[in-house]
Amino acid sequence: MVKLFNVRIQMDYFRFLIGRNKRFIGLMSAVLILVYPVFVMTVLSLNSYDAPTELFVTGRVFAMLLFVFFCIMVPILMFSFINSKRDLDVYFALPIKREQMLQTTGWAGYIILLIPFLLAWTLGGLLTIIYSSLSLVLLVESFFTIIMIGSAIYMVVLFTMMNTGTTIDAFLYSIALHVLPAMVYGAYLLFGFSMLLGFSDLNSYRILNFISPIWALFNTVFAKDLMLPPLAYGLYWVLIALVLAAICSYLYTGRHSERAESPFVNKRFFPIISIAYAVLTLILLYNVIYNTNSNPSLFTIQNLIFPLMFAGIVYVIMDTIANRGTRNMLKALTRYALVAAITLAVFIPSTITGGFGYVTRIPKVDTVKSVELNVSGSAGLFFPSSNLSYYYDGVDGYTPDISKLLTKLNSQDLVFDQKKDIDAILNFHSIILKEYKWVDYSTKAYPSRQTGGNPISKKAGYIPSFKAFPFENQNYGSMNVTLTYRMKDGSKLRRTYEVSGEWTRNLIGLSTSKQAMKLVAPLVANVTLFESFNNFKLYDALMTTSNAIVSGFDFKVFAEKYAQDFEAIAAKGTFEPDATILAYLEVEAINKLTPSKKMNFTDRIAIDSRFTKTLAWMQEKGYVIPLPRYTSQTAVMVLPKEATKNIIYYVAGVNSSIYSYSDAEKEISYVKLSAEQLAKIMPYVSNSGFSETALPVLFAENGTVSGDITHGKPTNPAGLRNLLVQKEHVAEVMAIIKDNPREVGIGYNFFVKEKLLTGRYVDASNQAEYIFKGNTAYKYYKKVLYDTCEYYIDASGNHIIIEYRNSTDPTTTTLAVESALWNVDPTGQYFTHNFLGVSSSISFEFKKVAETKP
Amino acid sequence: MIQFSHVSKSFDTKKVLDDMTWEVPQGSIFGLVGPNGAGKSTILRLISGVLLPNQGEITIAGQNVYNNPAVKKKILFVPDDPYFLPQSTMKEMRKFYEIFYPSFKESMYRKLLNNFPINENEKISNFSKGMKRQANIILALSIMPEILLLDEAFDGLDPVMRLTLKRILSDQLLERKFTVVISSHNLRELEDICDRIALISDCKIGLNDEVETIRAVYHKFQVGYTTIPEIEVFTRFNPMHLDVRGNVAVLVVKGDSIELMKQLNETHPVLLDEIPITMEEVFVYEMEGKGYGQIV
Repeated sequence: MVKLFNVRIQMDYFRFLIGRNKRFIGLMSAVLILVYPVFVMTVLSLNSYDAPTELFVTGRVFAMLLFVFFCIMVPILMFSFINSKRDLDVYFALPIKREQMLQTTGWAGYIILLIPFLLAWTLGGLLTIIYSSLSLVLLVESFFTIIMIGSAIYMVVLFTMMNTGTTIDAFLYSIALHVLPAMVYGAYLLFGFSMLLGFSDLNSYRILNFISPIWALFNTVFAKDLMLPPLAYGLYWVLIALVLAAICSYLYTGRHSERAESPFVNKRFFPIISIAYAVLTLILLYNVIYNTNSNPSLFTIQNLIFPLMFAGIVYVIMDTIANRGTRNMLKALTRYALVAAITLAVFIPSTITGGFGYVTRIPKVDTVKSVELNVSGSAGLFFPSSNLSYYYDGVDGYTPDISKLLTKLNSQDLVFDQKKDIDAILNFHSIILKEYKWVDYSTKAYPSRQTGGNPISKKAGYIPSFKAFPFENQNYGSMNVTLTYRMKDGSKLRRTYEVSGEWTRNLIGLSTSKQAMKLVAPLVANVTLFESFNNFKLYDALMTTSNAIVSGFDFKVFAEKYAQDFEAIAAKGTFEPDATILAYLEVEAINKLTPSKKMNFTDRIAIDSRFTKTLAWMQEKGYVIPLPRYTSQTAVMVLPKEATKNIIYYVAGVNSSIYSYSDAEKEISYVKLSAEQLAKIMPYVSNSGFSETALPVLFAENGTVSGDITHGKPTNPAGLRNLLVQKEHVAEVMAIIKDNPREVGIGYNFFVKEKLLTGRYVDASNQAEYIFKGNTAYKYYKKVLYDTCEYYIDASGNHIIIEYRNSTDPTTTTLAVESALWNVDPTGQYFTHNFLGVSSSISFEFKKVAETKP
Repeated sequence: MIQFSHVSKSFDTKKVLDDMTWEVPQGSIFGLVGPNGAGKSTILRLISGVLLPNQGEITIAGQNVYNNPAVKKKILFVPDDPYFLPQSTMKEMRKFYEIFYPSFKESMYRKLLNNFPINENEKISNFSKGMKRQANIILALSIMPEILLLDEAFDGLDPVMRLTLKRILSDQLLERKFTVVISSHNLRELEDICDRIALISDCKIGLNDEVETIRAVYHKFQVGYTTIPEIEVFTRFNPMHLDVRGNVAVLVVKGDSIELMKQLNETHPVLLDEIPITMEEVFVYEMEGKGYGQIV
């Protein structure tokens, strides 16, 4: 390596090479400019009104694909002389050190490669900056990242050339070497997923950034979840390129010209590549066949015969090409037989023993320092969730730092370091293994998803290893659970399982732990991430009214008090719904990523009677919680049926959800509440908790729409508060409603009363207007059609409008911009439009006018 | 002076040169002859620094040549199959060599270009085999190397061009002192131009002497008799070659010409003549003596 840095480029020869390749540079430039800026310009000129982000991304992808192709072709062309004995004799006879010749030619080739790319990237980039939202910084950064990673692609090809003796072999094996990392990763993943229960690939794809330069090239430019800054990957690949350059220098200086024109100048090169391909093909195919085969037995003849034969044919073909004939076929077959035998000798025991104990290994509690628990899928079933919504405000486009921030705030990871919590998780872990053992450790999907129901419970002699929930539920979904143990010795053990919801009972205790605060109130848990907090509003328990707090609210102090209360509540360790919901604090938090872009997050934080320090501080500061508007016909009490075992059993978090009567039990028994009754009942209802007995549930309409639908349709725009009656106050509540007539309804549509709006509505400025036609709302601005919106009334009677707009985020195609119509006048003469997706403080009133075309 | 000291060279398991110690005097035109695969090209590639010997060392004026640009600047190797940059012209090739050889002489290049029917702006890939060879020689001589290594230099040249090349080489040798090592199968070409000739066989230098010395040692006699004597009469001369047809015998023998004539006269021939022997015959009979080329 040191030798490499001591060698200087022969500048005269360098200039000669650049000059000699002027036409080639021109040709490459023309092709690159054609596929990026010219292509983009052409499409833009055909669609002048629209400049979709995807178009620029496509242009960049084309340019990068060509760049990769040139990275492979240029070294092959520049160093073609090494593949001819005659040419190499002349070059080796020249009065220049071999290292110097290598370096001069190598650098010249790289510069020949860069000039066209620089031209195309600059022109295309400027176009993107003008028409799209790419920043100049990103453009420059991506250019340097690409050329740095490109150096490794180039050097891999050169390395191949140093080991091969013909151009065609150099080309073929360069491709083979570039494909190899994907094969390795694919085989690793497929083996893990097929054979190892609990196999966790969490973020393992990121390893590709370190083993495949072509993957890294595209990933660092387009991925949003990079662990490191793109230039760091570039630097890593430059280091790899330097190491390869040192190896190339060694191989080139020792190259024997008499071996040129034979397929391989390095006798070890082909065996390594061909054996790697044979082994990987065998493993990949075996796992594919096993996964597509209905026979669950691991090693059947049917499973083995095709992979063995196919991999053998691949090996023999490679050997035939390498030796330019079949005269070594017998030797090749013998070698393959040996390779296959060794592969199976490792592969079979590793699967039979569950990855040599990988599957069944559960750490001992004394060896665990902490456990990170991540529950996704049906997480809301047993773990609370927040009401967090966000929007991006800036011109720099969607960048990795935004992803990082979102990942941090939406993270479901809870870290437990107390022995009792670790015990609970270890117990849960052992339940998973015991349950799966009834089927097969190689069965990776939760069995209830298979056709024919859950085969575990149908096994002869089956005894559940878990304690069942106190209710029946046909709708237990499956969820993905990742357990990451951090051991006292510094090592890490990570497993991911798809589990049934019914196995998770002993995790319920963790849902009320202090760690769960990040799920319930992420802005409180991450208070240090934000520069400012504003737009404070205090809502009543039913969220029917709010008091705006204009100034002076110190959110950091609030967060401190809230966290103290949360910890105290967690310390009690109860999760019965025993606290009275009192208020919600709405807050907007701002994270300024750069001077020109920021992320705004909005959340509503629940405050119940247990938050004593928070409430005392608010009282001291004079922040008054408003009283709910107890209007009639907007509240019902749903009553559990005595005969059923299916009970309403859980209410969690701010987005309280009701779980659930079975599908078979669609008739809901309820009573309508008067305003007075509602006021009396409110002190007895909770917004979160878990009950083991059936409890009445209060449904109250509040006229608002909730739920973050920034990237899709609203899934639960209830506009309702569904609150659980506290267990110890059921008698009082039942006494309050004892005379109310019992009613029976289908589903939870207690309050549907609205009709779709029709006709034309304009705002006060007379510039914005809506025309409603059936389920479509046409939105005009200054007489020009702005968006065509989907319009409907949801189950709760809320008027919902969803605008679809092109996204600036390249990972999403269409952005659904949330809108809600609320406070619709009963006569249909006006409505107030509230931009929930942006800020609840912005609203406009629209009045009905005579319908003429805008 | 080119010096080989105990040089051995093998390609994989095949030994080409074995413990060869040999030198080429400065200013000489040295002819390398030997059967196919004897190692003539290998010797030239070793001298030019293309190959590294497995054992021993090759020095030029006391300096090791391998990967030593300072020494290699003095050497120009013209391979048997000329190399040109893809799609290049003579002009480009001139620039290419000018980069590496500061000794490249433009006036010589122009002068040589005038002696050969070569257009320097035409793509070399369009040239005939002979023209390519000419182009290569023009470039090689324009570099004004101190050591010129010509591998099968006369291959592909028509008789006129062969003569022209010999003349140019001779003229240059008159103008400046430089060493030429030529490998060839065509001994007729070599004996006209070379001072010294070396015969390579059995991985070693077999015959290695000045052309005139070789001529003084090898003799060819034609002897006629009224009755041809027994074969033993001739075999006692240890002939390299013996051909008896009727009453006439032709012998190729090594030794002093006068002494040999005297001894042959003692066999009472009716006819005794010494016929001129060519270097090619010397090469053929030497190699026959080693069993090369004999049909079994």
